[in-house]
Amino acid sequence: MKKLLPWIILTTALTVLFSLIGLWYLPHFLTARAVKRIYERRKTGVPINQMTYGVLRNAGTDIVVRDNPDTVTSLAVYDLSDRPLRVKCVIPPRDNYWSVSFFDWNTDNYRVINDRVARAKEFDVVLIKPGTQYQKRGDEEVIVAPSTRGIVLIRMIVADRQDKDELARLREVQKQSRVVPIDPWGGDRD
Amino acid sequence: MRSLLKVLLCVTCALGLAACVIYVTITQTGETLSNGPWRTNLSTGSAAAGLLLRARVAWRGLWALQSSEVYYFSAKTDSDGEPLRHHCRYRVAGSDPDARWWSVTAYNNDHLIPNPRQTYSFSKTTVERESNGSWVISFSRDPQPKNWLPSGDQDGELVLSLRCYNPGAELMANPGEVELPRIIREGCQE
Repeated sequence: MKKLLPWIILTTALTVLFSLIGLWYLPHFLTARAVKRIYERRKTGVPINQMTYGVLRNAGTDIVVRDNPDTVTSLAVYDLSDRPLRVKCVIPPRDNYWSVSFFDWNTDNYRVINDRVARAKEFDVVLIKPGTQYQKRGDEEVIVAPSTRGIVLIRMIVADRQDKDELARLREVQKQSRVVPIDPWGGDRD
Repeated sequence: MRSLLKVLLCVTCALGLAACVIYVTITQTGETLSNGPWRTNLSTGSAAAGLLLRARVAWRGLWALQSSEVYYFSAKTDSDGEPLRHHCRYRVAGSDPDARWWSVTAYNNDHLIPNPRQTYSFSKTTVERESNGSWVISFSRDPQPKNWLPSGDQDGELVLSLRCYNPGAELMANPGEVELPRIIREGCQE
């Protein structure tokens, strides 16, 4: 038994270690897989630092697990390695839930701004990677992302998904939001 | 000795990953708060989620917002604790949860349930109410006269998701005790 003890301890320790590695890696893997599947369907590849505008999901077109069928979402995969990212947000002129949310690649939702706390119907957010010196240009909110890669999601609740007029109005507003890589020192006006 | 170590590494890796998969897909240990049949975890989406919950949320609800923004409740059972079944008929009955906007959405294996009406949910803005403001959603395979949420006839795990956007003070103070919709089994067919 004494001879086996070190092996039992080693086996247990390695099993726990691999289990923890698996748990750590899984959210990264699921993010990458969801992004790949979303853009596979669009046949555009995965655009980085570019907003794409989703439509209402139905059974069969819901790629993300437990997707909300009552939201219209816009999505941008960001990479802040080279430059910060300006997120231009436009809120629809009505009292339905709207939010822009920022997710690290490991799925942590590190910042969210909804229509009730936003300071205006149109506002800018600048996303920078840790350690970046950024010169503010106006009243934009500056958010330091926990890492260089992640997701920006804009959600708009649709009061009634059968209401085609409302959907058309939301689509118009949806397309006014966008993301643009910018010069951290204000050398361009993007 | 070297080949023994290789075998040990392979075995422990397999065991570790299996433990990770079991935790994420089968156990419900991540959902620490319950209210009748509804379960949730208030750390969902946030950096405080930790390794285990983060993996579980990524698997079951990728890119979930933090609980200051949305409360995500899910129910795999009726109010008597019996698993939701395709051949049974349920009444989801209640009044508006304390939130700016709410919805009840049905999933089979975490995806929307195909149906000709493309009805996947009822919400604060779409549910047809009784004269006193309360409402009843019929969750069943066969059509019902009012607020019919189809459960489909395909095998798989049925889940109802209750989303409460911009939760109110009462809900945030007592999420385990406030009144949430009841899920009442009305009958089952063979």
